[in-house]
Amino acid sequence: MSIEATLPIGPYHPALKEPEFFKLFLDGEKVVDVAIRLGYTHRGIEYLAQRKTYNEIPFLVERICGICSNVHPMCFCQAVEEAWGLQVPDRARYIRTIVGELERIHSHLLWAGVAAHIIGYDTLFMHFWRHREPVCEIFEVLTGNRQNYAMNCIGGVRRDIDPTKHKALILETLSQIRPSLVRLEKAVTEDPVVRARIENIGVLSKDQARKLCVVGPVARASGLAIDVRKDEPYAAYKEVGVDVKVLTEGDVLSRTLVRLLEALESIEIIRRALDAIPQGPIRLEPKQIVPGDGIGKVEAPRGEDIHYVRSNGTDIPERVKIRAPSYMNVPSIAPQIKGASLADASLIIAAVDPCFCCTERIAIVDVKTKRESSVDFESLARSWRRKNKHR
Amino acid sequence: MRTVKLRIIAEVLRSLASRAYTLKYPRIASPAPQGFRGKLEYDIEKCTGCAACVQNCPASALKSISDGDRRTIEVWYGKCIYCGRCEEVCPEEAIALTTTYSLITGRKEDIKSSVQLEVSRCSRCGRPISTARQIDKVRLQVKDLVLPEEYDAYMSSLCLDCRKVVQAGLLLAGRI
Amino acid sequence: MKIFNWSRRKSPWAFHLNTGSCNNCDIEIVDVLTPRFDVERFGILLQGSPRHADVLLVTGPVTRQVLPRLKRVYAQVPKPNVVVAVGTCATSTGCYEGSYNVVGPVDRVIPVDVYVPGCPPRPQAIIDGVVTALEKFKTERSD
Repeated sequence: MSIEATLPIGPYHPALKEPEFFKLFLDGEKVVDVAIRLGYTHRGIEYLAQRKTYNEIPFLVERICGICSNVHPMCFCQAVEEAWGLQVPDRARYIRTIVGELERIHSHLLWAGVAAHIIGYDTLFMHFWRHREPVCEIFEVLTGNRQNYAMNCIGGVRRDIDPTKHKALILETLSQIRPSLVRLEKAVTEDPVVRARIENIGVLSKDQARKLCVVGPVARASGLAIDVRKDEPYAAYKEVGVDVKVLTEGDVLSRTLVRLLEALESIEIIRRALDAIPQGPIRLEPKQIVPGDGIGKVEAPRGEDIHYVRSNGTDIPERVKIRAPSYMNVPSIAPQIKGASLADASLIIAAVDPCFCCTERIAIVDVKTKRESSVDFESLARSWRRKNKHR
Repeated sequence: MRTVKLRIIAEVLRSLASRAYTLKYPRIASPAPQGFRGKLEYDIEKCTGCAACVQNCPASALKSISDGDRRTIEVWYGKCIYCGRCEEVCPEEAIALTTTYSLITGRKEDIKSSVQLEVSRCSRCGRPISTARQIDKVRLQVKDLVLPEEYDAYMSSLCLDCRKVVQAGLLLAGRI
Repeated sequence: MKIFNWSRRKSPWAFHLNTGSCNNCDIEIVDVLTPRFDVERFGILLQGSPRHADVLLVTGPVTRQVLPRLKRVYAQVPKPNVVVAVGTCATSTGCYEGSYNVVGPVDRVIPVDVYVPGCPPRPQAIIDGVVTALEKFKTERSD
């Protein structure tokens, strides 16, 4: 296959919500290869986190990504709690579970709407987002904001779930949206036109998935049964239990099905957690900053999120490292898109549910000599200060 | 095949038959619920100017400006990330996040708010110490704990350096 | 001409531009089109090309890599237009101040007409912001 044409998609494109750049190499209508270039949303979060105190960092990492807005502060707080040896109260663990699962529902419905919009099915897009709206309203009442919850802090959670107002609201809303979700899931998977567009597209076999180390629904749709909530339970998942959904075909239809089934399973998890939530304090004040390392692992809607924190006894961390799930999933676009037709390219890119604002890392590539090198924060900051002397 | 195609049509008909979900904003008001993290407001009576909020703001939206006789704590709503950290750390509960969410402006310098407090000066050397309210509050808390009552009023009007000098003098003279 | 200004006010077409934000403001902008808030009843449509736009909705603190693209896109939007900076990051870089890759809020690069602070601003506030910005069309002359 020879490369006849290249098609740039992005950074600003009607199908994309974030700036990202894909160069598709085409032979007629078939995609031969893809080059991915990111870096448009790199804001230097790790650099900023190493200059702020522990109490300020959860608010900073919350703004890494808007859709995974509960996952990053929870993961950071878990890493710090492990480093300092803090034991979070039980009620706080259950509240973290409930907020995490509500976020999973909202994220999967958001993705389903965007994917439906990409295949041209705007009715379904509007229906998915209409049913996502009550979840955002729960968040507004529970946490004070529709998207940035600011619930997690080191040692617990900041706000409580009121057993009279909030619990009734959550249960009533979930029982309203559940039948609609079941109907919409059937509307996706049993509709022959939708199936023709998403079945056998973007296939990732189990071996390829394992070699590329994909995580999250992409892995679970290709036969790999990995889920941090089951393998290394955190928060209250050991008590509440999770039923992990695994399919084997590895195409876009399986990923859609895995996400919608997970959203339905999240509703059950929330109900179980609200029944079993114990009384008690919601927050533990840390008394001492202990030097040491801590790793936090959380199952985000997109996969496994890892935070590493090194504390040196002062109130500013020495090193904060964040590995978001999309960092592992985005490279899997390349084997999926090779051989696909141009009309399916947008859908394949969207089906791994990429969240580019979570993914940004820096590497310096010299395109002439084709050599790659890493760079540390101080030299980046120095070159920025040199160029911005007037500020 | 016909039955499965009818599923989405049934969903559409169900939505048509039910009440419209659209919120007819801005024709009807849409207030934020209780507990919404919106615009922050000061209670001018309670603030002591300790600047705990300034030190704890993750976005550096709060600033403390001291110029001789006045300390101003200023918030810029264009930089605020509405996290509620200032409300948490204020020891006087003088900051509250209200439910106001619409802060539209054509000039971003206009959306600032501030509280001004009087600063006390040292009665011996004249340098500014801290806000008058904060000194009064600390005096109430350490009353009778440290010094005999006859020295209390004078010592609390001194700055740290002058207090050391005066206290050393009293010690040497055997008065305390 | 008055009738052009009237049509721009009554049915403004919007183009959404993300200059490196965390996506919260972008989700709220897309949410404004969905059934709950439904700005299509005001005639606002999200367009795919800056050349079709009357209103430019910008989010995010501007990162270094986006800077030349932002200038290029702004040059392509036909005059008269209004620029609405949505979110705290577009107004003032928010909590990203001091980062080596953030070159400052949007008004350092392109002129902004209306600021909508919030993290993220409620969809009702975004509707308010666009409606306030459209006042500019009452007096503008088209080129």
